[in-house]
Amino acid sequence: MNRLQVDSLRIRARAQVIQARGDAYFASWSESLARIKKPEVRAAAEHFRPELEQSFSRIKLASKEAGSEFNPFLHGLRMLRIDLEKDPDCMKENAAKELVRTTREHGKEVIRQLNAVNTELESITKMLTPGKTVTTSGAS
Amino acid sequence: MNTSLKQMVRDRGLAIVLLVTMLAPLFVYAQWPFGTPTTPDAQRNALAAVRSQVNWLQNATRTASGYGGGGYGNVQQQFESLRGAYIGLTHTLNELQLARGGNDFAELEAGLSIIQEAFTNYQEAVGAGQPESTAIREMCQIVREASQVWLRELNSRCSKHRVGM
Repeated sequence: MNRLQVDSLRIRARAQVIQARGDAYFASWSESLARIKKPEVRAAAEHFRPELEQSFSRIKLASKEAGSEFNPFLHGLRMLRIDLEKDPDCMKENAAKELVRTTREHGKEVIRQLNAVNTELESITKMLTPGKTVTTSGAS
Repeated sequence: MNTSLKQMVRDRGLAIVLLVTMLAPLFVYAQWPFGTPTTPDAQRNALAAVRSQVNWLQNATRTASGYGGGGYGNVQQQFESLRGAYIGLTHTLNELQLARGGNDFAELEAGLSIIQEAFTNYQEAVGAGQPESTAIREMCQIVREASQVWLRELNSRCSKHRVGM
């Protein structure tokens, strides 16, 4: 669990900044694409700009959902561990069972939202990679 | 009367020239003394201060469990100093670095806020009945490892945006 807190640092920081900076984040990212040396990537970024912007909006939404689910998920895990350390038999109690259930639900939602982010990132990669077929993912 | 007036104007002119000459070196360094200099030297110094502060923080996490409640306070204090040192570094960035690196530097700042959650988690764990010694050991491990990850990101992003170069 400690590993989870450390390993998630970068992605949580990025998700927070995407939320906080919003359009400024996308603008800055687009500018960095415009400075890429490969002309075909620059051209692809220009050509697919509206699609990239839509993809970014979906990433922003999924990151927000993932972030808001991750906090109760981590909190639930930490509380479950403390409860188990205090009393290994605590899992027989209804309160502990409920905590397991809600924590699992939050965890599943985190994974679902991260998969959505991953789908968008794959879509962006295809848009910016010359020769790859582009299939935008839509709002799915 | 005219002669003394001319003399006075000449003296005053000389005084202005002398004043400008004396202050000239200050104008060479943009913004100083009215703000933080954004020169490569200033950036290198600020970056070195941040790196040192990460070391201090990591040392504090290694010794904290031996000091009980005082250990917690020391880690927290070193963390606040790290945040202060990082803010100091961002003040030395020039306009181009701030424009191009806006996302990167904001992510570093967000990273510090996430590391800081370890202190709240410690309080919460102790409140929920976890032994203080276990809670502080875990908090220190998370802060130490997370600050290593953060330092790697800092180095990579500062290199990308040519901080201190």
